[in-house]
Amino acid sequence: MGARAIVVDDHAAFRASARRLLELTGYDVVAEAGDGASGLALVRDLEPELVLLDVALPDMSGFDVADALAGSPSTVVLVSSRDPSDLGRRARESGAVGFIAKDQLSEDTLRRLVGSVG
Amino acid sequence: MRAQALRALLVVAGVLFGLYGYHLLRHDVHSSVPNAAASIVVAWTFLFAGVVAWARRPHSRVGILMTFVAYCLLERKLQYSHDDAVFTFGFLFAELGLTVAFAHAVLAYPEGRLRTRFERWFIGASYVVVIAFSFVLLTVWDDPPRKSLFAIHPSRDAYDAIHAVYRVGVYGVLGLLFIALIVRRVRGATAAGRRVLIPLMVAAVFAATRAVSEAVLSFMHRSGTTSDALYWWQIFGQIAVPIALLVGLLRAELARGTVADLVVELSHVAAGEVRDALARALHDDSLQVAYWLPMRRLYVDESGRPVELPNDGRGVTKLADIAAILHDPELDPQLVATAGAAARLALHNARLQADVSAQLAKVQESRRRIVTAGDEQRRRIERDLHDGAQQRLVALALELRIAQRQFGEESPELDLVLANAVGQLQVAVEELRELARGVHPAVLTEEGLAGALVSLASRTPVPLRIDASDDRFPGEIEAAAYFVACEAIANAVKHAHATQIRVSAQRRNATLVIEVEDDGIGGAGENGSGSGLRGLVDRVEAHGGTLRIESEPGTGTRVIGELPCAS
Repeated sequence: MGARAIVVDDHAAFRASARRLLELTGYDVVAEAGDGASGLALVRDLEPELVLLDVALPDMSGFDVADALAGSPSTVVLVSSRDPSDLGRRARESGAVGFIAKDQLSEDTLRRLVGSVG
Repeated sequence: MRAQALRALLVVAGVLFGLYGYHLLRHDVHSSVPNAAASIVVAWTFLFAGVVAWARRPHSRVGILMTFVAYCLLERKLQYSHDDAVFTFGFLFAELGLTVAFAHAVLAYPEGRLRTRFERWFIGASYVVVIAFSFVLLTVWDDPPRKSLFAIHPSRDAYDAIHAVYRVGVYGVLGLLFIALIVRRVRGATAAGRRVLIPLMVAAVFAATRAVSEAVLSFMHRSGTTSDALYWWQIFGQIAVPIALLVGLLRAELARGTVADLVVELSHVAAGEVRDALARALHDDSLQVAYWLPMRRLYVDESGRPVELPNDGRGVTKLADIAAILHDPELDPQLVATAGAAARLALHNARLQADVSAQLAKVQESRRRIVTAGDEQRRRIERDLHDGAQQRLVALALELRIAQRQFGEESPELDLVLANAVGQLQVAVEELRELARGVHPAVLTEEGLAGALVSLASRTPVPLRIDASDDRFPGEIEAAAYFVACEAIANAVKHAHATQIRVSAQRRNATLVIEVEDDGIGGAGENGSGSGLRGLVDRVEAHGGTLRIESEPGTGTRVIGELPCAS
């Protein structure tokens, strides 16, 4: 059984695709959330190894969610359909382990950022 | 002509009446020659001052009121008659001249009308109180040989008691109220207004001494010397007040001479200086001019900003269809109207200028709204691109990658096709991002100008030093400054071959100053690089700002945008 992951994104189509990619990469996607508050609650309940977190959420910024999760055992990876340079200093200073543009999201980029799934 | 004849008649009648009064004083109560003469001179002073004021300033009723005071003072002498009917009539109205009619004329100065409801109430009540007291005194009159026709219960003691109450009530309480009303007017007036109110101050001083002498000293023993001194002091005051009122009214007339100077001055003042010229001519620094715009049916100031005419006691003199002059209420409205008439042509020109300013202000406001609405629209388009097409494309790219991962190993041809499709999609996503940035960069909304400039620097192929304040500014101001920087940087890279660019964005007072400086070849405009920036001039000016380009050939280019922003 692989490491557990949660996908937080308000676009259902992207969540479905990301779930399949994560499962192909070896993760067990235990939950999905469509907004920041639900995502935070799920992460605190389930303590997954990985959180794939969209920057633009309907209720709050993904940066705020990442800041709230600083210190938790979960590894947070921020994703956005925007380029990192379009997200300003918060992308560079956030509590996430890294950032991947959604169009660059693949097994390779994920592995490069968080290492092999244990 | 009829008024002139009436005035002549009143003067002749007043002189004869005065002579009769002098006769009564000398023969019926054996008054001394100086006292009798002084008493008549006071009445005649009011009469002549009143008639002159009436003739010279027919629009002000102060002249008529002063004439009325004169006749009240003359009528007072009838109380010394030994004829019962003449005595009763004389006594009944004897006190009006020295009390309420006097106060009426003074408080009505300079226009001849009482200004406030309280003043009207005060004067009306005083007429009633003074006549009522006199009537009551006549009912207890007991001082032969003169007899009251209204005597009901003659009693010297009752008379003295009522008279003491009268002195305290009328000279004391009503006198103090009169002084308080004058003090209030003087305190509320400007320097120019106080000059006009000098006669009121003179009247207040004499009313105060009369209040003290009559209300307080009446209860004390008075020596003959004290009485004489007070008598002559009062005579002096009663003569000084009508003269002061007349001089005040005539001075306002003399002030019309300054209107002639105004006409000369207005021939060479600019439209924007008409107010100053009027203020100088009328000696009223607080003066304002509100111009009437008939098409919009409102008053505006010189800059075209709407103005409400005050109803807080300030003087308002309307000049039909052109303007209203807002001024010290103590200024003579006739004088203000005369000055306004002299300035009519200049005011007409100033009104046209104010009208143009008002229209320009409307155009400027409309221009600002259009640009702001455009910015809002751009922000919405950027969000729609991000939430719509961009999301679908990145989801599609992800799906293709998953397909490539799942089926690519089985078929190298399929793997190649899918890899090409993913590559094309990434190009499309990048182009869409570039488009969205050009429409309105999200980082500008999220992090403001400083964050957007840092993001811009990361995509600029030339070293770019940024010195930007972290302050947030209104969204439309940040957008204007950002697009100025974008265009200047793009020019520096594409046309000026710069090797270094410096961008500064700082708040100076209530202005955001955006400055982009490069070390390129300069000569913007000659090499075609200035055209985009000129297009941004409209955007900057729409927010009341300015855009300057300094670009001598060989000296680099400096673009300076100044945008007003709330501090």
